[in-house]
Amino acid sequence: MTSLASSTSAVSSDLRVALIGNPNTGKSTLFNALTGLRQKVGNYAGVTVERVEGRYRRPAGGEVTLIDLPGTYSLTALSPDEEIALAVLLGQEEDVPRPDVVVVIADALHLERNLFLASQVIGLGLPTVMALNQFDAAEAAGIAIDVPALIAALGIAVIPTVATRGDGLDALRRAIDQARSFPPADLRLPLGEPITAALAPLVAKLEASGLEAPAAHMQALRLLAVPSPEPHLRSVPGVPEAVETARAAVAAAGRDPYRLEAEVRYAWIDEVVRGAVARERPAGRTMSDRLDGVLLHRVWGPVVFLTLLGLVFQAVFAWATPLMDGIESAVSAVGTWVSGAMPDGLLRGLLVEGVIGGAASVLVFLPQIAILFLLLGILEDSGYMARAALLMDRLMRAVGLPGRSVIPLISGYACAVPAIMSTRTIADPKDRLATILVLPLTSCSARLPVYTLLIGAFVPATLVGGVFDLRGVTLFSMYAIGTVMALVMAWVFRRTLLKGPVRPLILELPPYRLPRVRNLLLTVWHRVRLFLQRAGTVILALSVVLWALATWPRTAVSPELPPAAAAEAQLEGSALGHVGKALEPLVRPLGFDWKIGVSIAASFAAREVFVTTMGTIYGVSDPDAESGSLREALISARDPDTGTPAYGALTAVGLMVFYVFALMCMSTVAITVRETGGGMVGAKWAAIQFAYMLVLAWVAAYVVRVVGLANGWGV
Amino acid sequence: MLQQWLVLLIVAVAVAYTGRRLWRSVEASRKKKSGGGCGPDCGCGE
Repeated sequence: MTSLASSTSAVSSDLRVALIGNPNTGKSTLFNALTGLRQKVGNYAGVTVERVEGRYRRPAGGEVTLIDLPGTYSLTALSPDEEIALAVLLGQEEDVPRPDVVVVIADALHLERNLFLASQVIGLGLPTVMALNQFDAAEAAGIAIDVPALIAALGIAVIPTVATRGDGLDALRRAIDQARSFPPADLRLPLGEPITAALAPLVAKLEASGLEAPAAHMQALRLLAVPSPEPHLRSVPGVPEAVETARAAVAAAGRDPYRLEAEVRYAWIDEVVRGAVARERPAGRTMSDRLDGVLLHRVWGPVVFLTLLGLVFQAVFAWATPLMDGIESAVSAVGTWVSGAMPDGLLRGLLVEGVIGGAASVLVFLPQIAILFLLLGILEDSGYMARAALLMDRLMRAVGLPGRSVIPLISGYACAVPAIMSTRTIADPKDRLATILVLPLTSCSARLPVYTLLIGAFVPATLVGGVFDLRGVTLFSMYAIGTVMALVMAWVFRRTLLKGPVRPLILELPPYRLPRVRNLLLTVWHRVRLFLQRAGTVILALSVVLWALATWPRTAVSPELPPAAAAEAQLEGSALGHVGKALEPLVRPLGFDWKIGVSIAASFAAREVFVTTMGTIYGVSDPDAESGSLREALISARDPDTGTPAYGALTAVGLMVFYVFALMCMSTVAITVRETGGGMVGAKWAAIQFAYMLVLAWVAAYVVRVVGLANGWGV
Repeated sequence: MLQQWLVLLIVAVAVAYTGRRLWRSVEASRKKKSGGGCGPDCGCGE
């Protein structure tokens, strides 16, 4: 550690501090450790894509506002994330004041690569501190880093840290506190006489625009590599022309202007690493390497991947069933108790059929969501998910998607909204657009209640191949066909609307490690809390609205009708019934009745609303069924014309396939509009996305119906 | 009668809440970059 550990702050008032680093260096963990804010801690690249701020008290009084910048490998500003990071550091981002101090987090295990970004940040001239994270892992791997030598080479404070354990954080806080009082670093890379002369006019222009000499030097090198200067530099008279002149002069000096920065920086990094890093033993095959030999093998890799996923989906059913039965019984008991305790009337109807039969019916799926995310969390925390991304990359490139699409597509299994936002790490606009357009085809967690309701009701728990439960296999199939269709549609888009070259994935593979229980519990709690929040807000509100639509207008029903038939007639005469009947011709070819049709339409607000709408409809149409589950109600539902079962395995599979493909999510449409350009341009892409997915959904469900009927699969 | 008014009030609140959610989605789609757009329940940290 440095002498900073024992010193005190001399600088007063509040501080704004930007935290920047390569993806997967433990940046989010460090951010959480410093501020106490909770954020998802990922094990693979590209988790942080949004602007996130946190606060902590300075040791000497005042407050530090910490801005967590997107994970990025450089400040070259080729992708939206790099652009945002650079704009914040330059004080050019709207509503974000320029930071007083920058903390560069570098992975001690991979210092060479991390120094590229670090050298660019230091070159900007802001007071900078380096957190040398995973210092313990580097030591364990036999990498000895001479910290004083590194401090001398970089000209900034370097603090070894282990963010997961909180080691070095006090020293880091003190270094941040004092950073403004340190002598400014002057990191001007050695360029040689001809190149220095070639860049001199551009450096002079940048200095004249107000930049300090080191920052002008850094910007001059960087501008050679970017297609065009950022708006604030473009508007400086003479800068765009000076960039062109400098490029020509560099080329005349025998160097490639677009590669000059990378070549110069890596030459400097080689020098620094030679002086400050020693490998105490030759890098041999570690346990991680040996595991990768199997898990990334061309044949065994995909086999292990598919087997693991199969086991995950099987466990979702096998482990959740007792818990689901318990919640189902509790919800039914509450319904029965309310029915008994309250007099017959509108309020009882609202509570029993709308709130309990509707909103509370989705709570049954809570255990499955918790178990799915616990198991996916284990895969992620152990380091396996990064390998899965690498395995998928081969498929991605085959269909023309960039390697960087892998992480957003995997994120889509949780929720398409943050996944679409995370596509900002993709530099090429066509690559990004293609990824956004196909991303909602990966099955998000909101589809899970729909799948499990239908599988639980209509798919028997028989064994497949003597090992796998048919219910788990069916669920796995839904995820698989969504993924396959995403790849197919990507292939189509990349060969029609969005043609362009394919870029490979550059992904750092973290070492395998035992998942941390606290991190897993936080991940599961995060998903459970979101689900409960949705159930308690938008799903509850929609259930009440749908109950009202299923209750009014009141229809005059013959008193001679038995109660169930009278309730059915009342439901058909209600506003919901009228909407459902109007939609029925559209869904009837798929084998769906008006109740399913109106539930699909309502689920555009949130997919889980399909379950609550069916719950409300079956609560209203059969007032005696409040003590039974929706699953049982669907199994015993009868076609009013024929008296035969209304639904069966064929309807269930058709409906699930429909949900795999259909974009029934208002939030996803909104985010697509915004992330594809906003306004009419964004609306156009969102309309294309919604339309192609709806057509796919309808056609696929129709094919299921036709094939099923031809093979005698029943209703 | 009181029961009927109470039910109508609850339904009105639910309609207003649903409408607000819809409006927020439309608003969010207009903004560019910085946050918003997904509401507090989509896991995007907003």
